[in-house]
Parts: sequence; C-alpha cells; structure tokens
Amino acid sequence: MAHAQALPAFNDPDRRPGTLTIPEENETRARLSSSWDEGSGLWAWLTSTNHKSIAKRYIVTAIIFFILGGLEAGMMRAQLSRPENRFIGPDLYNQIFTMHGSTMMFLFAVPVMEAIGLYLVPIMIGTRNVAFPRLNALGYWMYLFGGVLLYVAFFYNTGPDAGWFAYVPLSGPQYSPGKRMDVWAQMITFTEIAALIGAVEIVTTIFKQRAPGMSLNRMPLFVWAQLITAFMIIFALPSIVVSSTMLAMDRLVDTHFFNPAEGGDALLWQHLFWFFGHPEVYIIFIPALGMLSSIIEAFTRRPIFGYPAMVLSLITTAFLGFGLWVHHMFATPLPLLGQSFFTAASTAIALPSGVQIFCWIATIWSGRPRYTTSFLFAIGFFFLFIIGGLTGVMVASIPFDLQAHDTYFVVSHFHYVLIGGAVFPLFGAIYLWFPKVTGRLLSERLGKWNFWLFFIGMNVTFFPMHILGLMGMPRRVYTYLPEMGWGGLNLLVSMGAVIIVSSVAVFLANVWVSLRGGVPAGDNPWEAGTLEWATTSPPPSYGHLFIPVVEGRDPLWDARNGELAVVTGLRTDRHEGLLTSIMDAEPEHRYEFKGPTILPLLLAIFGGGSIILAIFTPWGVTVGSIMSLIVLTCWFWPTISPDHDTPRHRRRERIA
Amino acid sequence: MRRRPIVDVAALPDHAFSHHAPIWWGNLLMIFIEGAAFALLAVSYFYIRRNFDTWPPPRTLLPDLGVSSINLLLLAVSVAPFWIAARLAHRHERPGVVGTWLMIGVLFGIAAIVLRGFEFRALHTRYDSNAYGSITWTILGVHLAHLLAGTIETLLIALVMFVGPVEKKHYTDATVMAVYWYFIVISWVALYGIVFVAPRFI
Repeated sequence: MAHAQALPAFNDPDRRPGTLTIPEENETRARLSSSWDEGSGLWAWLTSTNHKSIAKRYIVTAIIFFILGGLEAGMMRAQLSRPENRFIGPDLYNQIFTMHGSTMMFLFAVPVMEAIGLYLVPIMIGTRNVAFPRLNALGYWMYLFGGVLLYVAFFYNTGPDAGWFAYVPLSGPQYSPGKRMDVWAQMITFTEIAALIGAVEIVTTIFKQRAPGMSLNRMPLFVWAQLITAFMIIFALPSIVVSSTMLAMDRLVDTHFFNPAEGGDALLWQHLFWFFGHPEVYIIFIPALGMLSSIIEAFTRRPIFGYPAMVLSLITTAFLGFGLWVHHMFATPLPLLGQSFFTAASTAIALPSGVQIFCWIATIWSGRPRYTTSFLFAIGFFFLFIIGGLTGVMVASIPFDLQAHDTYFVVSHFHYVLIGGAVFPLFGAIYLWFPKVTGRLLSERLGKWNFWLFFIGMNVTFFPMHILGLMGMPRRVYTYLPEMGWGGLNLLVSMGAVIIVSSVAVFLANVWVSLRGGVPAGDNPWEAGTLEWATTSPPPSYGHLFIPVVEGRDPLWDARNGELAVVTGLRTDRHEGLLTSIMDAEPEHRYEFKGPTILPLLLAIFGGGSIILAIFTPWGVTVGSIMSLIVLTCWFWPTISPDHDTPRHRRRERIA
Repeated sequence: MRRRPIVDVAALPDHAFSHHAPIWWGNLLMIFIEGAAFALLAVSYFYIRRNFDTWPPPRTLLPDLGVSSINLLLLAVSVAPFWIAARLAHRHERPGVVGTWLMIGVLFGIAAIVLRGFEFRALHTRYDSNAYGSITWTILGVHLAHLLAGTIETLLIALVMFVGPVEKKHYTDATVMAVYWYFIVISWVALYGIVFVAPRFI
C-alpha cells in the first residue's frame, strides 16, 4: 500500500497480512470502553472532559439561547405590528433589542458554530479527544455562566439597553448609569474567554492530531473552515477583550478612554469594536461554508469540485474579513481615501464568495443530488445568501450607505446574510449530523415542513424590511405614528415572524419525536465519505475503535474492498492518542489526554465569580484571582498515578 | 467495515519537545492572542495621541527613563536563566537542576514586579487624570499581569521539579514556559519604547 511504504519504521514486517478478527476487535472495544467510561450521574456530568459530552451540552445550550433570542424577536414584532402599540414600553424595548442582538451573536451564533466543530473535528480527523480536555470543559462553563449572568440580570430589570454594539457615549458612565452595561461588558468577557479557548483547542487538535496520512490537502473542507475560523477568533477577539475592558474601566474606575472631555475618543470604541465585530460575521459564516461543503458532498455523492479553489477562497475570505470593519462606520467623519479603500475591500469579498458558490453549483451539476431536508437547507442558503450579498454590495457604496444607514434596510440585509448564510447551513448541518450524534434519523416529512415554513417565513419577515428601510423607517424605534404609512408592511413582517416561530416549533417537535423513537440511523445513513461516518452512531466516548489511516480526501469512498486501514499499538488502559506531524500527518508520538476532573468547574466558579464581583467592587478581581490561583495550582500539579512515565520508570501495557 | 492494521505505533515515544508537542502550540496561540491585545493597546495609544496638542498632555512631566530602563535591562538579562533551564530540560537533566534555574528566573520576575511599582510612579500621571494616564497605566498594568502570571507559573513548574513526581512531560512544560517568558520580555521592549521613549519624539 502506498502509505505503508511512506511509514516503513512503523510497519511491522512480521504482522499478519489479514484484517483484525472479531474477537480482537471486541477485546479492544472492551478495554477502551472501560478506560474511557465516563460513569453516570451528576458528578460524572460535572466532571466530564470528553469533547463529545461537552460539545453536546454546548450545542443544546446555544440552541436554548437561540430560542430565547427568537422569543425576544417575537416580542419586538408583536410591539411593532401596528402603529402606536402599547405592548412594550421604550425602556423594556431597548433592553429587548439589546438582549436579542447580544444573545444571537455572543450566546448563539459563535458558540454553536464552535461547538459543532468541537464535536465533529476530532471524529472527522480520527482522534479520541481534543488536545486540552480540561481547558475545553472550562470553556463551556465560562460560556454558560456568561449567558446565565445576562439572563438573570435581564429578569431583574438590569438587562443591557444600549444595543449589541454598545456605542459610547451612550453605553458610558454618563448616559448609562446603573449596572446594565456592566453586565453586558462582563458577559462579553465570559464569552470571549470561551470562544478563545475553543479556538486554541481546534487549532491544536487539527495541527497535531490528524489520523496518519491525512495531510493538510486531504482534510475535509469542514475541518479547513473550522481551522480558519479558529485563527480568525484568535486575532479578532483580542480587540473586544481590549475594548470591553476599557469600557468596564471607564465605567467602574473612572478611566477616560472614551471620554472626549479628557482626551478620550468615542470613535476609538467603534474602531476597536468593529475590528472584532466584522471578523465576527465571518467567524459565524465560514464554519457555515464548511457545513455546506459537507452537506453538498454527502447528498450529491461526489467530492467537492475545485477543492484547492475552495480552500483558497476560505482563506481569502478570512483575510479580507479583517479589512472591512470601517464599512460599519461610513456615517462617521473619516478620510475619503480610507472610505474608498474599505468600499473596495467590501466589494472584493464578493469574489471568494462567488468562487465557492460556482464550485458548489458545479458539484451539484455533476453529481446525483438527493433532495433531503439537509440538502434543501443548502439550496435555501443559495437564494437567501445571494439576496443578502447583493444588498451587501449596495451598502458597501458610501452614497447609498449614508441613505440606508440605521434604517430597516440594514436590518434586512444582515438578517439575510446571517440567517441565510449561517442559520440555514446550521439547520442543514443538524439534519446531516443529528443521526451521527444521537443514532436516530430525523423525520424527513417534518423536516420538509421545517424547511418550507422557515424559507417562506424568512422571506415574508425580512424582504418587506428592505422597503420599510427605503421608506425611512429607522431601526431600534419602539413604535411609529400611523401617518408614516409603515403599518401594513410591519404587520406583514410580524406575520412572517409567526411563520418562523412555527417552523422552529416543528423542528423541536421533530427532534423530540426522533429522540423518543426515531428510525435507527446506522453508522453511515447518507453513505458519505468522511471519517465521522466510520464509527458507530452515536460514537463511543473514545471516538474510533482504532485510529484510521487515511489515503485520500474521502476515506470511506476510497476504502478498498470495504477495508479500512487502521493504526494499532496505542495503549488502551489509559486515554491515549496519536500525534502526527503538521503537514503530512506522519506519526510522531503518543499522547495522554486528561481524564475527568471537577477543576474546570471550580475554576469557572472562582474566575467567573471574580468577573461578576468586579461589577460591584474592584476587589472582586483580587479575591477571585487568589481563589483561581489555588485551583490552577491543583490543575497543574502532577497527579500520582501508578503508571506515570518518569525517565527511569516505565510500564507498558499494550494491545497486541 | 473490516479493519486492516497497517501501522503499529507502540514503539513511538510518549512525549516530545517544540512544535511536536501540543502544549507548545497551545502556548504559541496564547502568545498570538496576547500579542494581538498588546498591539491593539499600542494602536489605541497612538489613536488617543491625536486628541492632544502636546504629548504628554500639558502640566504632565515626561515619563522617567531611570527606573524603567533598569527594569528593561533586568528583563533582558532574565532571558538567560530561562534559556538555560530550557536547554537543560531538553536534555532531560536532573529535575533539581532545571528547577534551580527556573527559581533564578522567578527571582528576576519578582524583581521586575517590584520595579514595575516604581515605574507607575515614573509616569507622573494617574489612570483617572486623562486619557493619556488611562492608556499608559493600562499598558503597564496589563504587562504587569503577564509578569505576575509568568512568575507564578514558573514558580509552580520549579516546585514540581523539586517535589515531583516529575514526569517527562514536565520537561516539555519547562521549555514552553521559557518561550512564554521570551514573549513577555520581547513585548516589553516594544511597550517600553512606546510608553517611555516615544513621548520624547511624538
């Protein structure tokens, strides 16, 4: 075999030429099951460090926040359904639109995309866990605490009310007294820590833990998308770390970063926020592109057309994504040359997006498409994203932007891009991978209802907003006068929102019915080619029974005579994985993953506690830091295990 | 699907150094994150500069070069014990020897933290005086947080080296710690130049 020759040192010449026998496999399965057993009950749940358990609760939590954010949208639509409505007052309305934006961006979109990566990437690249399992658990707890903080504050009438991008001076100490914006700033701290942890996990796992033979140019496009997104997070999130810290300090300890009276600058906030905020859109969008490639490949039953062009387009999109932030600031006094540059960059991003769309069309054209629910959501993406992209090209032009700025035209544009560009692929991805995660198929009949209600509801809701925007309706107003003539279209928009709500209800019912008694999925219900379909559904806690050896881009389609080449020799008595080289994924060394522990939760409690206490007193940081230090000492302290591997002391217990 | 074993990895080592080790990557990505944060603080410094006619603002003395330059030199020298400790760890020397060099690094760290206290005074402004004070104090403060974290981490690794049980992966930790310390020092060279030297020219 070609690859066996590339790895002569590890190819035992005395090995039997045959495949593993059933008893051999069963023995390994029994050993792995016992050493990777997570136990059950509350304690096991609190101490889990398995990427699959953590990613599953990450996804479920994010979807709960999606539903909460959707309910907030529903309340706004109820309020706006007719002129001079008195359902919600201006103060609560301000809180609700801020909660809606913050929830959808920080607690739903970014986390859910990362969480799906944290679940799938290790299985897709053929490893047993993420590189730093305890850190991964910490990331989830921080995210959860940040979300709970925001909602507890909201239910106590302390929900943030200055919009999801919290422009100063409105969000500063002078115009937002009280604790509302402090809660926002600290919620940001929690979610940025969680997102950065996820990014570090994903990059390290992809770089070092790919199955032997999965060189970079054989990685599934979904894994590429996750890798590129993780790098974007690493370079974009520090900007919101810096700016939200400055805002918190301006509010809590009287610094003057954004106070013009003392030489501070309100536009500094906008620059720093959007230097994070624009890449954030691509942090949500690029994983969705990866999902689309997986969906299209699985349901056209052929490899993606133009793989190198697809990868290069993803990378180009990521780079250009960092050069666009000023297009959120066209209505501020910036030099004309700078504005022209950002117009050009904003228009240029249509190029890599176009390349990808043409590659997908070519794939579908030359494949044998099956119009499953998942595939329909991918097709829906094409329609919606192209509409959103076209209005994007429009608002990239400054004269037009100055007219449309802060109107419902912009609201319509970014909902087409985000729902069309991210939520539709996400639903497609759920229909694709739900059988893998749960072992049960979702109903196709309910799925079609889910899709069509969403597609129609989405257009009924957001298309009229274009017109409302052009008629001059500003965003973020809690009501409007009957004489404006916006009543009819607003009622239509609100009816569209009802259709979307019913679509999500159908989706939840579908999940419920499937979990209660759906059709068992089997290992590979779609006959797809990537490695996650090689293991059972749901996958065991150790992922793959044997680490696969990869000889092409679609290992299951490439497998000769139905045989999967695998690795042997990893220890089964502890959580051991195989590390491979970055470029060509040649085996380098063995690596032990950390097992279950309560420490991540404790660190989240103390570290998170200090972040929350800081809203009330700077001493909160001091106390929390000392407590966290104690936990971190335990975290890093060597555990005395019977088989620890000192230079002088070794014990080996391996399978045959 | 039947499985055909073609690679046996039992003979592979169970730890590695440098870019072969996951922790080295985790550390490098952490450096990217914090380096980006430092860069954004530097950008904010020059952005705020545009709002003032004179820099530092009127009635504010230039920051002193005395104690800050001493601390810069001290940090530059502190690279040596970390470099030696990393070399020794790479060669799997006795844990006590590696730990001793790490402890020397910790002493440098403590000295730099103490001097940092005087550096705040050498700024001749306060964080709540004006935006100049806010950004300079924040840059010093954020870097101080790195000094504290780096020193405590080094102390922990040194203690593991002395007390044990030392596993081979702890040698990797020592080398990675050195890389993090280099980052702390190199980033300070740039930030020192911005906070203490640049006001004389811009």
